[in-house]
Amino acid sequence: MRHSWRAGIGVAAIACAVLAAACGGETTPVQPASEQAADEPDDSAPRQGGKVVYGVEADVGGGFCLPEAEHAISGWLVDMSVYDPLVYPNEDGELVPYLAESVTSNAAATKWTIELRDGITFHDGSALDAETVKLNLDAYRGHETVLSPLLWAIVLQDIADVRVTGPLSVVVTTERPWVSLPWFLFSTGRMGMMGRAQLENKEQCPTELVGTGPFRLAGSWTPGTAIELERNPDYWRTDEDGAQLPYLDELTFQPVSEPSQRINQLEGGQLQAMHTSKSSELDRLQGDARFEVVTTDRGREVNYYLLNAGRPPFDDIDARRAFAAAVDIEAMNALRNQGSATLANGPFDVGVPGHLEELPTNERDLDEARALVEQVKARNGGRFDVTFVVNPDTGTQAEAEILEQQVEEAGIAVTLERVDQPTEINRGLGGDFDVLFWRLHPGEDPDTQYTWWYGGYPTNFNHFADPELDRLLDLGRTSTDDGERVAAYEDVNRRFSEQQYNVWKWYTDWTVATSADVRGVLGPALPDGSAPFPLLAGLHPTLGIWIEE
Amino acid sequence: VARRIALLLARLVTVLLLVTFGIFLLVRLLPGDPVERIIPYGMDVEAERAELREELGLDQPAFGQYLDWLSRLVRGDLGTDYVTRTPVRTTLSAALPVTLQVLVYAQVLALLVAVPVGVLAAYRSRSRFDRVTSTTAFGLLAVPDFVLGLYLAYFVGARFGWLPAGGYVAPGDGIAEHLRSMALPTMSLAAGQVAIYLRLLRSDMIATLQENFVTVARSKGLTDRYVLWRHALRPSSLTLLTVAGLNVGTLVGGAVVIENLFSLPGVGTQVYRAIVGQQYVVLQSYVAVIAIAYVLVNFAVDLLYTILDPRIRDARA
Repeated sequence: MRHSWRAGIGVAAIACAVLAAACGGETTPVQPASEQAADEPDDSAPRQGGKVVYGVEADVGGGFCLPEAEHAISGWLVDMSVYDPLVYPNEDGELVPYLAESVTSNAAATKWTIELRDGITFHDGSALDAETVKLNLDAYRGHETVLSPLLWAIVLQDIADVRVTGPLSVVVTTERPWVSLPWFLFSTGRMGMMGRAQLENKEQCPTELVGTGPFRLAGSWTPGTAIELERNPDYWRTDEDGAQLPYLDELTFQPVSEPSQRINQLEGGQLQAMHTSKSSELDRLQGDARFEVVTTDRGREVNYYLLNAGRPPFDDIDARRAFAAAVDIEAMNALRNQGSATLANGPFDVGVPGHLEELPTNERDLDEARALVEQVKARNGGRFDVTFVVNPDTGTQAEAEILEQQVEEAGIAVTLERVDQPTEINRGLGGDFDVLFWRLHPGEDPDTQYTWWYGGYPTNFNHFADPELDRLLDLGRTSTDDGERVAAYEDVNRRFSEQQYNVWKWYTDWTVATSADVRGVLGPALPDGSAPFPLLAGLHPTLGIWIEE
Repeated sequence: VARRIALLLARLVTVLLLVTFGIFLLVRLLPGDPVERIIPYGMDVEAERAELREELGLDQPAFGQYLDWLSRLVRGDLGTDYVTRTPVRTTLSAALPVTLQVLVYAQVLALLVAVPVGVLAAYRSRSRFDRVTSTTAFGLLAVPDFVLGLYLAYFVGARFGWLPAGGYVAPGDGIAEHLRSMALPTMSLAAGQVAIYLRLLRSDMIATLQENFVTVARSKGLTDRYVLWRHALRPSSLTLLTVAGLNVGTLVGGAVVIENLFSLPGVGTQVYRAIVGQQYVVLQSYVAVIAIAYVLVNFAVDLLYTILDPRIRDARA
């Protein structure tokens, strides 16, 4: 029997069946801010036309040469508007075909066949065919390409070969069984299919966007400015009622880095949509009839203190435990989120395979912390010094200072280094830190975290080499038995808890707020009729946004 | 005239060299390596890093890099963004008009408010009006422009919805909407300048009003309004004019913050991007353009002296 990737990677749904209580988290789709609005059912048909200006948290300064780009949520939203992925997750956490008509594998999950939909064209009129998809996949994995996709090349190194087997058929062969490969074909919307004209022009690749997506670049884009998109008149999708997608004529992504200014501009009418991950901002939006607020408690990234286990003092498990015991996460949650965020007990959000309700969240135990600190100091000539490398965000700075006080109470000496975010990342990669304030691991298939945790990988920011974790991660990647995979990731979770490589804080709640007349943030049904996954780490499709008359 | 143009050029070249070399040294003190910014991932890509370093000229000695950039600048090549491979000329041509607009509007607004209020405050020196304007001026001086910007965005933009809290509308898309979109950034930048100009003009004007020629004018039966605006204002404006020219630098500094705050795609936003992205060449080029503009503005101010006060022209002759 052939292995079906739907069955193979639909482990989120299986995990939900096993952990019914754990999957109780629910999304609040287009949650009306006022009670009056909540009582009125929204049964009006989507209206074509109009323009929405969407305030995003950051400038996507590096451009849109996707194999080379390092995008976060602001970039993902543009990616999802201009490009289409081969697959997209539905509300049950299963991937369904998107540009692809089907994605199937052999029984061993070493040979994946991607059949493409016919008749889809890029913005420049060229056809989406197997040759273009091969060109894309090769560009992402750094094979015979003019581009330099360093991170992608690491992530996709288990791909051995990409071969065209028909006009609309591509076969991907992997070095070993890889049941979650389709999740990498999605990668939080980052693996969009790009036109040949963009992929083959290294110089223009970041700014000359050519996708198959619902919107195309209106004119040209200058880095550092708003990204103005217009409807793709030849878009291949319609909604359930046969209406042409997208609904909007124009969509502009306006970088507004200051969160309060995003809300000011939404309130003032300069923006019609915005996102935020700051609970303090959410308070201002909720309960105001002028806004529609969409939030979710699924598929979230995790906030945590990342410890460098590759050098002293945190190469000593007692040091890591001492640090964790000194930290008061409740106090931090009160400081950063007014206590409203859900505390995390591991790297996987509720509903993600590997999530375990049984694991405790971090609790402060100052006596234990002091006792462990003494043991560590006794082994290190009386020293237990750590360096926090933190970015200059004001909230992070305040948190760092409180954390410094907390761990110093336990006897740990702290040096606080303030650096900009790219430097922070580079210090992390080089292992030149003891503690980083980190946010990662969106709630996709847990195998997508392989790159961050596998021993010896340059992207293993913890710098640990843990053979047991490596074994579990390999098992999770290669096993075709869903139950075995779930068990492997639960063991990964337990291993993190035992080894205390990180101190988990809370899940990141993303919120999308729009003016009251803007609808359809969560998107229309996917091509197979199922609903799209709501706000995966803040990501949502934009083709279903429309403006009520 | 030829001598003055030669002097201007000498000043321009000197300022340009000093400022760009200064910023060249400063950006190299920033932590991190621009090459690592472009190739951040992976420990085994030193060959690619070395290749990129060579391509960007970062393998040369620091002074060699500076001279290389300078020789390109003289030929009109402002360089290219390392990451997006966009020529600086392209981003500059899009950003410069926006910044020029906000700077001109801020200066005009500051002068439109400061001149009449300053004249009136001098005329009614030590009156309640003078005390109120002085106190207000000190208050405005004490408030940083970005703080004022946040308050204006919240109250005027968001709460009352009178003016846009951010975003940019080009003049070609409707002059009224354009002026509305520029109103709050302009006010934020102009407020501090109003206070400075007002205080300066008031002081100079009070001194001028005690001059003999003012007494003579009054004794000839001229009205106070005529004396103030036709006789006293011109000689009192020289310091104001000097400071207005010098303040262009302050305004550009303020624009870096204000443009980011109000989502204006101007030079300030691009300078901020260049600093954060460690785009050495881009930053140097932007600073060079700002320095050239600064020298030119102050040259124009110098020329205006002679128009405002013929004694200066005669002395130079």
